[in-house]
Amino acid sequence: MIRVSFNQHIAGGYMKAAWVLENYKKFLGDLWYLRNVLFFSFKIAVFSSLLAIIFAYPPSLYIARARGRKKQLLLTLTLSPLLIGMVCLIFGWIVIFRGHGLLNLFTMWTGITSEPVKYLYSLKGIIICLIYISIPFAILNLLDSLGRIDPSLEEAAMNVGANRWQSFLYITFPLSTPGMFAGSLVVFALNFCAFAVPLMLGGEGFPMAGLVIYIQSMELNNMPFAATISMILLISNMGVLFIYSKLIHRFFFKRLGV
Amino acid sequence: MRWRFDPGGFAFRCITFSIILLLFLPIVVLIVVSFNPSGFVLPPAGLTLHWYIKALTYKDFISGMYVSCIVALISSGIATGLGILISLALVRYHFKGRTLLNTFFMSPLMVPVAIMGLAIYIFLVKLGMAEGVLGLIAGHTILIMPFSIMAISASLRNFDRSLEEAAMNIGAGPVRTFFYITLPIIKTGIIAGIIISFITSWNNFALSIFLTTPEWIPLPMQLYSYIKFEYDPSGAALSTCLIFISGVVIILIDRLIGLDVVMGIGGEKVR
Repeated sequence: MIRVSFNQHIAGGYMKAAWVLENYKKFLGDLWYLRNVLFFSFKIAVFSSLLAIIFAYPPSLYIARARGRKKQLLLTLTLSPLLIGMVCLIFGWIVIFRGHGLLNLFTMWTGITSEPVKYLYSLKGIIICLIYISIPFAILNLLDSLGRIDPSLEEAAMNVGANRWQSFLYITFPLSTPGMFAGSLVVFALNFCAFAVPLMLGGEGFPMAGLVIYIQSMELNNMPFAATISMILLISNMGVLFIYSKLIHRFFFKRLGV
Repeated sequence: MRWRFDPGGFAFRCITFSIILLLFLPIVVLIVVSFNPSGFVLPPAGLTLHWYIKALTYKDFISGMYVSCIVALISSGIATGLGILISLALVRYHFKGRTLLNTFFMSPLMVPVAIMGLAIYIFLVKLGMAEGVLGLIAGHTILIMPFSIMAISASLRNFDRSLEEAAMNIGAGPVRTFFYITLPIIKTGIIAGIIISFITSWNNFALSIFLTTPEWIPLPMQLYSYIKFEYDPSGAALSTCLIFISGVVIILIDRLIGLDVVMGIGGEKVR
């Protein structure tokens, strides 16, 4: 088994080696793939990871400050979606997104929208669901760095006259940035290659990269091209993560002196 | 720090709890729909078990359950067996490349599932093993290895080495020590590892879709194709059953070693 996992990249690479130029040209030479698959996934991933981090921040802060049983309970609650099947969760969202589903009932009732909005098979639905799935992962990473912050630092800030907002802004928030960056990296990588969500909520009209791999390999049976996309996806994913962490180091941590 | 009632803190709490509630929204909706006689039309019109009966007698779901059970049992068994050995090596011995090896074993968590699925599929085709259930088992084993390693390593770090030394001192050999001292003590970690790998494999969808063959279709896949072609609440009923199983598992793991430990944070707490 270890051998198989060790070979996985080589396996993808082997198929590619025999076909190299043809497939790469097809992907990189064609603006459609570049713009509508790679850049499209990139945009969605950036947007949804940003929002996921924002949504994950308050609960993480709350959990990090809670103690004892309450902390354990909250932690279990927020992490439990990770252990529930993806299909069930997405199906739940399908039910919510329906024409006269919960979300439309709610927005119409509150008067935000006057008529049903199409969420199913639309970009809105995909993004909402991606954010939803990413939140527990973001919380995991945020908690890691929020949990390390020494509470006495905040107390010290309050003692010298800072109010709570100031102590959060100048102490807690800067110290939690490593977790935010780590979280956004993980969530970005997840969303960039997301597969089940666009498959179930979007259909083929929304060619996110993971879905394109699936369609090419399993439905069109074009293994080499699917492998090519995988490799490009993997490389661009790593490239983005690398550039991102470099940028953070250069512009952020140096200034902070962390 | 003291949190008295004040607008800022109150707003903060409200936001926090609404987000946590939001996390449970799809689950709650599914459960409600599954008991609702009028199906997806909300608000619910009453209580019925009709959808459950329909779901639990539907033959594709039953065969899916059978396949999922087999795959999850075998792959979690393999993953746990290997996980014990690997965690022993990783926790006990300090050797060159230990961090690298650790990262390597955790890598299935980081490689996108679609890419991993395709890679395993191509690899299996090359070996000529893509037919039958073998691919599914192999793929799931790779996928769940990190979880079983995490759970078992967590309990190994807790372990008092002197107990083993004591056993060795009074004349037990390494094998005897392992089976009579080490294994019983890390039992909790192992059980938690088995449970978490079982449920991960049981619930997996994105990897299965690449490795499934027509004769061996696991339950999440059956559910997916059911939702896709026949849109009725027995899908919700089945999901509720699955969610219930996951819920039991979550509580079990939480009691045994804590969900946060399995998920990779709170390592300090254990050490």
